[in-house]
Amino acid sequence: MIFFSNPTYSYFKVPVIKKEYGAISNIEFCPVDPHSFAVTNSSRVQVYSPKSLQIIKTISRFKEVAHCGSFRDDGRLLVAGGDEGVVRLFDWDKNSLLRVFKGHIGSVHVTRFLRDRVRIFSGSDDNSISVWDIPSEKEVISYREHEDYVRCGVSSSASSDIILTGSYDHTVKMYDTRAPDSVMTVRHGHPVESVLMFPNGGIFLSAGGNVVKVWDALGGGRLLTTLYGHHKTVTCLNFCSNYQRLLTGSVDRHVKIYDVSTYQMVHTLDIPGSVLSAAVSPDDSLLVVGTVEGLLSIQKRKVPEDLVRKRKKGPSFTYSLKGKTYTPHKSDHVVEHKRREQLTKYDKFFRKFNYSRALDASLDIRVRSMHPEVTVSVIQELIKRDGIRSALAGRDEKSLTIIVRFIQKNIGNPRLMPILVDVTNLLLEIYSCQIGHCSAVDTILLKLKETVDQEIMYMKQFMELMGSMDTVFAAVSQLDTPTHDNSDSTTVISQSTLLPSKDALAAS
Amino acid sequence: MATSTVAPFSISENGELAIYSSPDGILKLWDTTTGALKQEYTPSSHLSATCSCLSWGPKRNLETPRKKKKKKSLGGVKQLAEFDMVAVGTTAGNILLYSIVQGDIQSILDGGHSDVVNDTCWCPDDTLISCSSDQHIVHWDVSSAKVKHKWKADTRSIHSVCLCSNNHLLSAGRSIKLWNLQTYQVLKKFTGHSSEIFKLLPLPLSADMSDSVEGSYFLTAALSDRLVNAWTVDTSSKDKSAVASFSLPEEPVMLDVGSNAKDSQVLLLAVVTRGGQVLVFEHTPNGKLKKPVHPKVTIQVATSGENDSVPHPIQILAAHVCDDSKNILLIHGNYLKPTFEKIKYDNSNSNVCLLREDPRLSSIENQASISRIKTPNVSKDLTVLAPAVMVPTEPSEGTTAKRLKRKTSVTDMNMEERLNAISIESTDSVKEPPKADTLVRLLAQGLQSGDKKILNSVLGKSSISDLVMRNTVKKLPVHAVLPLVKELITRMQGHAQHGLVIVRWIKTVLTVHTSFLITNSDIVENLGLLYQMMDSRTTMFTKLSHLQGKLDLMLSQVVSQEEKEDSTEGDQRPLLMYQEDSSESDGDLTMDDILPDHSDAEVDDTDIFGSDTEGATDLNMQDKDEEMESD
Repeated sequence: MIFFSNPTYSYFKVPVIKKEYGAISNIEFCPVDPHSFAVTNSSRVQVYSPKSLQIIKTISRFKEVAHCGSFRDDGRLLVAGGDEGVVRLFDWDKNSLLRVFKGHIGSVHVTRFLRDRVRIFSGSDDNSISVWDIPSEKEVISYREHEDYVRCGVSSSASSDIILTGSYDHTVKMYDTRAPDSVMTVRHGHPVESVLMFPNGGIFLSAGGNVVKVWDALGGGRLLTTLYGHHKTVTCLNFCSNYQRLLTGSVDRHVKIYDVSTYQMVHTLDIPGSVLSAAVSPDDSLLVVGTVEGLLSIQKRKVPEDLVRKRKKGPSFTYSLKGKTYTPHKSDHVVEHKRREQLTKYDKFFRKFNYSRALDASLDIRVRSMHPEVTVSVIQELIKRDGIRSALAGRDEKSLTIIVRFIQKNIGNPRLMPILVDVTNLLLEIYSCQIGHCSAVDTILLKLKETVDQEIMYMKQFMELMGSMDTVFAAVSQLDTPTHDNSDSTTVISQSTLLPSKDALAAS
Repeated sequence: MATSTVAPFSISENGELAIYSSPDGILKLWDTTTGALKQEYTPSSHLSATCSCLSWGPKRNLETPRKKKKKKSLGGVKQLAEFDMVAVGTTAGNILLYSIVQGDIQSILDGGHSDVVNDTCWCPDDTLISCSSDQHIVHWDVSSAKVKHKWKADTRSIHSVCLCSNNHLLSAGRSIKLWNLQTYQVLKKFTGHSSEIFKLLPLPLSADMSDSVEGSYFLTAALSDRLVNAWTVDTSSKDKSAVASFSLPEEPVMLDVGSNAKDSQVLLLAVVTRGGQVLVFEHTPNGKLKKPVHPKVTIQVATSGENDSVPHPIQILAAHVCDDSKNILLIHGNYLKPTFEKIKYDNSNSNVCLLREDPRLSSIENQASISRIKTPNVSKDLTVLAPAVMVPTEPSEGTTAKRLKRKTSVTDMNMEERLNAISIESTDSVKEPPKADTLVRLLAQGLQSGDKKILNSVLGKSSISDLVMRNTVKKLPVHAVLPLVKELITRMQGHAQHGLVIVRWIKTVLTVHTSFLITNSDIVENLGLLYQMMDSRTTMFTKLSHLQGKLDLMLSQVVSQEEKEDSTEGDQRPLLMYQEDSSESDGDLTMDDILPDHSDAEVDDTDIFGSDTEGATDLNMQDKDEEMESD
């Protein structure tokens, strides 16, 4: 059952409200079971258990306000930035600080792992973006293209080199860590508060001001649509229901849910505070919303059994069977109602082994125009009985014309095609030397040829289309099963396809 | 005899003088030849009782013995004295006799009417007849200013009176009555108008004013009636209806008639319509006419529309046929400063439009410089306030009605024309296709509503270019992509000839919206079904290709054979034989089924027999017999 398909139905139980010390700037679920979630507020990152909704770990190694506590996709490491300007890497389970990345001058608001798990990128209020290597604790590359604070960013889960960042300079930039400059820039029009990218990298979204914009990355940064659901600044974006729904939170105290197939709003939730962060657990069981005031609202989803309404029982089946189950007594005289079996014309001829006549009967105008499948099944029967050759052979001009016209009309039907092709082959073999003697048959054969030509062309088109669809399916299968392992062999789409080519960029 | 008495505007019979009473009761006299304002007079009662009708007294010769009122006239204004007396009917019910020579009221006929005086009419014997809304007609003795006779003529108000001979009077209100002036008895009644008649006009045929009333003609115009009727007086017949009628596009406000000098039988009728046009009819009164007479000439006045201004019509206030029907005097503009213009009557051009300056642009102040104005006792500080355009009134209203200025010529059309215009416009607009200029919009609409017709018009178009298709798909809103893909998938299942375009569409959608599609598992499911369908269809590809090759080869033989046959035409016709052959194998069917191996040989045999016509037919006959038996 798809989450939030009914706009009026309440999907959640009464929320559990928790009061934190400061504004809750980030909530993130651990990608692996049991999907614990990290809540970043004031100078700590707290990890909650999804079952008990209690804090299981608190990371408080920050001197100032912490930002963006983010899990690695294997769920073992956690990275967080802060107002001190350093990026810290933790083994959150053991509560140990593993690495400290120093280099930013301003506070670091965004820290994420890249897909290859050995690198981290961070965005800072000094307008810079840095990529760090975890083992060596060194900066790999740094970009200084934004002209204002970098406050949000994501890394692509399709490619380990793609980073998307949004800044208060109203732009969203895409970087390839192999390239020295950004590869794509789109103008959002407002200070960008949040960005989000589909796992296959085809579409990304940006939130800022009261609008959310949807961009086509493969189309060279084309604006697909704009969502005007909120009336105040949209602060967070997230996916739920296996990337079929989009979650947006805003300071107007609403969380709205959109259907990504149409980008129409399907559900709205009221939150008792200005929403700063919101997330739904990967199994859709939990919705966590954090507000500016430091309230953490955790809502558990109603079990699916509750959602299924009990169906009313219809009228009893036994009632309708009344009288039909009556068993006669021994003394009763039972009069059997005999129904004579009516045979169709071609069946009669089949009985007499008069195959030619049977074929004629099946080619009756009513049968062949209304139920061509009947005619074809008669032909099939003739083939089975090995009588098709004799049935077809020795026909006069008129009946031959009828047969050929029937074939011409129905050879395009994929269900009838295999048999009709065989019949045509046979027909041509039998009448090969008579072709060219009768103009009526010739014209209809020419027509047949035309139809076959068209069909062949159609099939060629199909094959081309199937080729392109293969690519699409491959991308989708990647979407359905986000890769947790490191092997790149499963991704059919090469990483270069997902990257917008330089030509496309130039064209746009 | 006065020419017109519709409301407060009147032109003397010779067309030289025009008198007008403004809504505030001030009389104005113009010389029509120069257009100059000659006199202006404010009666003492002008505020309490405004003028309701004006009528010129009969032509007086100073040398005639009856010139009592010309006592004070000066020798220098002899000519003017010809038309001296003007009877001014007031809303209070009295009649003022205004002398132009004196420039003052000569006498007041009082005590006759209790309501508005609607019309007055001079008799040759120096008497005056007036009719009023109080349903009475009064016969006045002018010299003594006394009532000669007063009688109740109708049960409703009477709007018009006129003399049709020296002893006979016509009165018109709801109905038309012919009176004997000696006995004051009704001689005859006429019926014909459905509404109130506001104007009676005797034809000048009867201008000689003989005592006989028979055979004289008169015209009537009624309120909101688009017909002017002509009647003949025939006391002996019982026919009460009109002898002729003149159709107008609009209701008339003023009539004038004149006869042609050369051919006195032909009458020239000028009708001023409410819209400010003048329609001129030519008519010879000669018995009854079944069909209404249509106007010969239509005269309009409009501004020229120079300097990028929109041309708008100028109201014609009155018209007068003068100089034995050679000329027509037009008064147009507004009553504050009317323009007098004589145009030559020419019946060759049926529609005359005169371009004149806008009267509203020229200032009113110019009039002050006219020397011959008799200045009334009006303060100079007063500003004259009047509407820009005024029209003569209907009798029921009594005073001058204001009309809003017309901006477009559309309002000048009558209802019939307007309806026509509307219907034409509407048919035009129906023919014009709705503005759905882009394929994108059409497609989005079609997908939204599921309208097959719209979708067919977009998706069924086989001649669509790749670029157009690509742009269409590109501009399609995101929420329409999903329905489009679903629609295309359903359309794919059809025949190849329709499918070819659909395949192109799907390809375009796939290339343009790749990223959108791959984020959408719902669409992917649909595409999966499509993929299976295509997969199953393409399994036949190799077989079908074989067939294509075979057909190609054979039909190329056909072409070559046809060429050959063309060269040796009429040589042989073995076609018949082949057919007979085929029926032979038909007959052998039962045998073939039992011995299937034999059937091949049988077919081969027919091929061999193909060359030998006679043998084949023989065999054929036998087979047929066999078949009969087996059946």
